[in-house]
Amino acid sequence: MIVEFFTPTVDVWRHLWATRLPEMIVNTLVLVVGVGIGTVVLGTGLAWLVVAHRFPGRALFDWLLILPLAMPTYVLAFVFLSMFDFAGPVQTAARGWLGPDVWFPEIRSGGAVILVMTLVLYPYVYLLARTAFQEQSAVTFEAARSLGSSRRSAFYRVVLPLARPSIAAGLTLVLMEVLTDIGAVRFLNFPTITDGVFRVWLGMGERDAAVELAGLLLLFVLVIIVLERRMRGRARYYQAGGRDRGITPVQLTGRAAWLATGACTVVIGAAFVLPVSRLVVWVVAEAARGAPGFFDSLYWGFARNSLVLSGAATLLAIFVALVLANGVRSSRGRAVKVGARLATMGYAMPGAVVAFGVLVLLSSADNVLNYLSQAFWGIDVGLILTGSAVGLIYAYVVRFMAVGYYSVEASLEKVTPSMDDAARSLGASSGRVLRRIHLPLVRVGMFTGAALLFVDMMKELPITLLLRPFGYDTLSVWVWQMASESLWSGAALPALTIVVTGLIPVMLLRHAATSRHWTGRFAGGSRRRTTEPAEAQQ
Amino acid sequence: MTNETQTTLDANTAVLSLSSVNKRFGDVTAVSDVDLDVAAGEMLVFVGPSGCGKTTLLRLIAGVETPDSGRIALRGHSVYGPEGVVPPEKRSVGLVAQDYALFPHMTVSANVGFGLVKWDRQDRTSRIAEILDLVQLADLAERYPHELSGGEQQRVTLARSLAPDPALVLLDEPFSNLDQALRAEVRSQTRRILEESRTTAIFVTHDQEEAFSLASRVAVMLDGELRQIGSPLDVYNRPNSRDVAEFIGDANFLPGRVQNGLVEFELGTLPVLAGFTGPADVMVRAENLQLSEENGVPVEVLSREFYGHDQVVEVRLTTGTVLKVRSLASQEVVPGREVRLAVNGDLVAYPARR
Repeated sequence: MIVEFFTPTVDVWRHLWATRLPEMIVNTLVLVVGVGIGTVVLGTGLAWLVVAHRFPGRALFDWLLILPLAMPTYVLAFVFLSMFDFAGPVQTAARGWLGPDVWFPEIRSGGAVILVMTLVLYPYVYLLARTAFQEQSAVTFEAARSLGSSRRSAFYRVVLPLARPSIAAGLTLVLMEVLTDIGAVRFLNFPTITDGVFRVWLGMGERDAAVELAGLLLLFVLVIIVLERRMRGRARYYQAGGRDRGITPVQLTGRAAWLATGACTVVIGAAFVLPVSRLVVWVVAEAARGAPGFFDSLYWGFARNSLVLSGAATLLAIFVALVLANGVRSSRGRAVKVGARLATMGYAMPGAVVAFGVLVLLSSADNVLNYLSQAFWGIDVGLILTGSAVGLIYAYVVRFMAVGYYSVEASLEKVTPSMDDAARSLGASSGRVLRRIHLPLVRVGMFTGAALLFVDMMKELPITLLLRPFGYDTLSVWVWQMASESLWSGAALPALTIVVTGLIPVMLLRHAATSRHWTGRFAGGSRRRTTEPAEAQQ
Repeated sequence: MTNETQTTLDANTAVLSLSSVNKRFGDVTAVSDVDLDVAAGEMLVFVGPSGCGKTTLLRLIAGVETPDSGRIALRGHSVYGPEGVVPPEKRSVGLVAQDYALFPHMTVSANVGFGLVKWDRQDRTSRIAEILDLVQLADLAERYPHELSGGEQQRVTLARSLAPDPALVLLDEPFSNLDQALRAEVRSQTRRILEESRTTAIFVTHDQEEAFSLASRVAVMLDGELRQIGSPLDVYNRPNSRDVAEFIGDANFLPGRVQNGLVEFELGTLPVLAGFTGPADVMVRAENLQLSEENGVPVEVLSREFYGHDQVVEVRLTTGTVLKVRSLASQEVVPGREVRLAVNGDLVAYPARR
């Protein structure tokens, strides 16, 4: 990949530069900045609202607010497009009410992409910020108050800066998704670099140029990571010790309370309830119209492909995660740790970059295989790796490894080395230790990780589009194809399937967020128990 | 008359005054009907066992917790009462937490300057320098908290709370995170700093030694109630109830009978401090008992714990009662041997418990 990047294909670049490239770079920047600001404001704002205030429905919103995580950007994008487009129900109704000249913001625009992505991606920031706020010791907050800061100013001067690493971690996840996205930017016609990669690759067939464009994308990622590291400087963000008491929430009353409830409702409504209802209406209408729907063998074929692909990749990823996490745990060496860090880097890579990396690697492996089989048996095996689902599964594992790894690692942490020692000294063989001690303790983390992995892979679009074997389509690819041709109602059933499946790990996440599974892993915060005030007073 | 003015100060001269303050958490009464006045420049120490409500009382004063009823006034202005509640940031009360609660993302000088946002730039810089001088940390101003030792962190926290010139500084077990060797030193530094800046301070601790060495007045808290307030000497030598006597110091209790200022008990008939007549429990401090070869009643030595600077010896009277005796390290004591025991100091008696 790096080699490719430094041997530019000048012709294509000249052509690109003359045509779309400047626009694509600007658009990517606009998205990064816009969605970045949007998700940070929405995510941290909602997190602070939920953690430090009491208002009607707070407990419910606390976890409802993570539901949009189940919604892929490309699904929300096409639902919004269908609703707010010129011919869509909203504009039609508005014209009916207010006359034909009523002005409406253009839905195929950067603003709309920013809105869609912000609504779908803010939960990353929300989840991590929420954990960070909850873990913050009330003592620090109270110290700020006693030094003359109001709640508001203590939030800006102490709470927020202390939560910054978590917010930054959430923001990094968001930006990776932004850089990866192909669906929303294509549907809402806002060409970015990723979009360019696809056009150059699938449209122009210029593989080298596409890889170089992907390299440009990687540059964005590096800049984001380096900037975040730089900004931290010498300061620390975790508190020493930490009392067993969180920030006391205040009761909101009157207008403020209703505003809080209203804000949460609007967000959930726009990002989840509304689009899901729309999908359901389409599916029902299709069924009423007599379309094959659920009974369509096509649907089941795609569903089976999704299941097989994501399932196989999930199993593989969890297995690798277990091996890696165990290796890190049992060895004191640096090499293994660095290896694990490298293996989980894929999560910070845009899908297109991973796809190309895998492609380059596997095609050389294919060449070697072909050469060997030619030499030994005189047969040409063809592209057995790149041409099959193997490449796709490999790419999935590379891209999403981190999700499985952190889930497994977090639960392995609960197994202290002294537990091993104790079990062994009680006469248990190492096999029995694994079976009776490790597996039961790791099981929950493993299942959570597997569920997250499965859904992430199932809704994955860019890698699947680039690497799927010919004719091997999945649910996400089907949504993509239908929606690309504005066949909204046809895309509704697979889209709804993806969203509903996506709800499973979101529910698991809800537990994980309260029992601190993998969400806290990115923040690196300290552990703190929450106790009742009466207990905590001394 | 003079006694009266000592315990209840005029509301105008008191920096802090509490009346009938109550706080419950569910079924637990954390603070029960507390009345208290604190004068300017005082160093008051709340001492009590874990869970007695002393930290809650501190938090009520700081305003980070709200009482259920009562009144709290600072410098004569009500901060809690029927007139309403003043939020913590408007109370001008410094808070030094057990784990310091330094802001880890700010340097020492930014931490110290945190409460000075409304000051202009120049005043702020000079105030930070002045306070850092006071706590002798001027050369560490640009360090981050994690780059400091425990004792230094403690001083930064103190400096931070002193910077806005608060009416009152509250310190919640401020030395408990320091190791034993450092504690005495940091304690005397803290005392010096507070005295130099003429700050009124309230400490909370469960450590009696700490309480006695710091306080100008000690307030003993048991089960949410303020049971005795007085000079350290007074509280130690004349606990006003048997509960307080049991909590403070090493005390032995012996049954006896009080009549005409004398008590008759196993160790003889001796003068006693008691305002009643009848059956009594007599408190004898372990260090007020003396072992020798010739004076007093015969006792058998059971065991001893040697501490270096002194030792605690358990002895049994012929009646079977076991007593603790604190004696000098130089005294040779052999378990199993018979020696004699005499009282040497004041006795205090309480009405006997039935």
